[in-house]
Amino acid sequence: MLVLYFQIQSLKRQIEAMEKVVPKPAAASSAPESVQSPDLDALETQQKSIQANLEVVTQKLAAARLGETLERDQQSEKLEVIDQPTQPQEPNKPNRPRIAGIAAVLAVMLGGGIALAAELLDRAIRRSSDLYSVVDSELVISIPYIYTQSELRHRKNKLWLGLTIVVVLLVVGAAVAYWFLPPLDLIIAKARVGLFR
Amino acid sequence: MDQFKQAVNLARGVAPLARGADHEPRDDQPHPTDSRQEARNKNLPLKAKHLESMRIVSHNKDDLRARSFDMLRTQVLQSMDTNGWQFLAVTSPTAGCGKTVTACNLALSIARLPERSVLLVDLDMRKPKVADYLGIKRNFGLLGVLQGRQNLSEVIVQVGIEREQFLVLPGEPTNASSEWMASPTMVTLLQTIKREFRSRIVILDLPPILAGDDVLSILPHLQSVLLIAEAGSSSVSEIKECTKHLKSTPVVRVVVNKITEREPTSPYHEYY
Repeated sequence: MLVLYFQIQSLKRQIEAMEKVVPKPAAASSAPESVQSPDLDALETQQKSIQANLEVVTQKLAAARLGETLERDQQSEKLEVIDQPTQPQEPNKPNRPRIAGIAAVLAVMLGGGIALAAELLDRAIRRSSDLYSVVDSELVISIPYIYTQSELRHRKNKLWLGLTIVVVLLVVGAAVAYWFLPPLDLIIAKARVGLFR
Repeated sequence: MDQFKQAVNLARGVAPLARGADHEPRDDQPHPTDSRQEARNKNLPLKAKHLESMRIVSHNKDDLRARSFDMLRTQVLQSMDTNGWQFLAVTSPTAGCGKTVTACNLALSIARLPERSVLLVDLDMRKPKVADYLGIKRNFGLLGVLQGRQNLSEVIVQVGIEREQFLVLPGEPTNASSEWMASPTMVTLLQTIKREFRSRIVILDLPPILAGDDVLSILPHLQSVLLIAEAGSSSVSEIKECTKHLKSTPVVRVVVNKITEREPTSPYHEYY
């Protein structure tokens, strides 16, 4: 591009220089036309050839400019689809089972830690022997917790309620397994093959 | 029987008592003054159901739960007899250890013994609860006597369930508890009680030791202390603190109350 531009510039300068040269002899000797005719002819042919040169170079420049713009426009459309993108079926960032697992482990550890801390920090006595360090053991006497009849009744009721719930759950579970689950050996076989994954 | 009683009384440093001709175990008229007062006070019956709901079970000798209190009673009485003590103060490091329940059960357990009689005094002047636990009305009490409004004989009531009977001096709540406990009037009252109820075991239901200075101010006038600690609540350091305060007053027994786990010393699972 630049090369062409400079070529044009230099050609234009040559033309200008020739035009400056040409009028002087014309003005100085306008009368004797025939004498000057071979000189003029030569100049004219030179001018013609230069003019033709200029046109060619200008056309080249225009072609180059066009090519450049075309190239620039088509740059973005030059992408080619190599492989069709696949749509992700599940998110890859929050790994839910992993987070849940970590949370469960942490929760268990935290709970155990709190229980341990509470047990360590609890200075309360639990049994009569705990007092032997401060009181003569002969003086220590224990009295069990006095449960009232209603408390015993409540405890009994709670126990029965708990047992009933466990039995009912077992029965319901067995029923569900009987009617809705495939036979056990089938389940085991499937699990072994890995069909559940 | 009579000789035995006299021997017991002698051992306790009490003069032999004039007794009626019949030797019914329940016929307990130890002192002339005492009997006159009892005659004036009507016998308030206690309700078994209410007592049971308040965990007071010692009146029923068939009740398995009464056994540990019987055991406590026997040990405490042996110590008191050996040392000639008449006053037994029941207290604990902090509130809620079961002072009043233990005191009431102990009173009923002692009252079941034919040759013993009991006066239960509610000396917890901040939160007197003996009357509530026994289910008797309380529109009179210790404070009236201290203020000189009432006579001792007017406020002491005899309560009974089945054949078990004992005397109760209920309390009245007051803000000036620690002042009253430290007052000479209180000392005089204790001396009067000691004199008037010579033949009775006097159980004093005190406030918690570490809750204020009430117990500290009355400690010098007490003969023996039964310290109640609560399993799962009282700490060794609390007991240590209490024994520091109780250095000058003999501790009869230290009760570890409300034990929920089985112990080798528990009377539940033995012979019976």
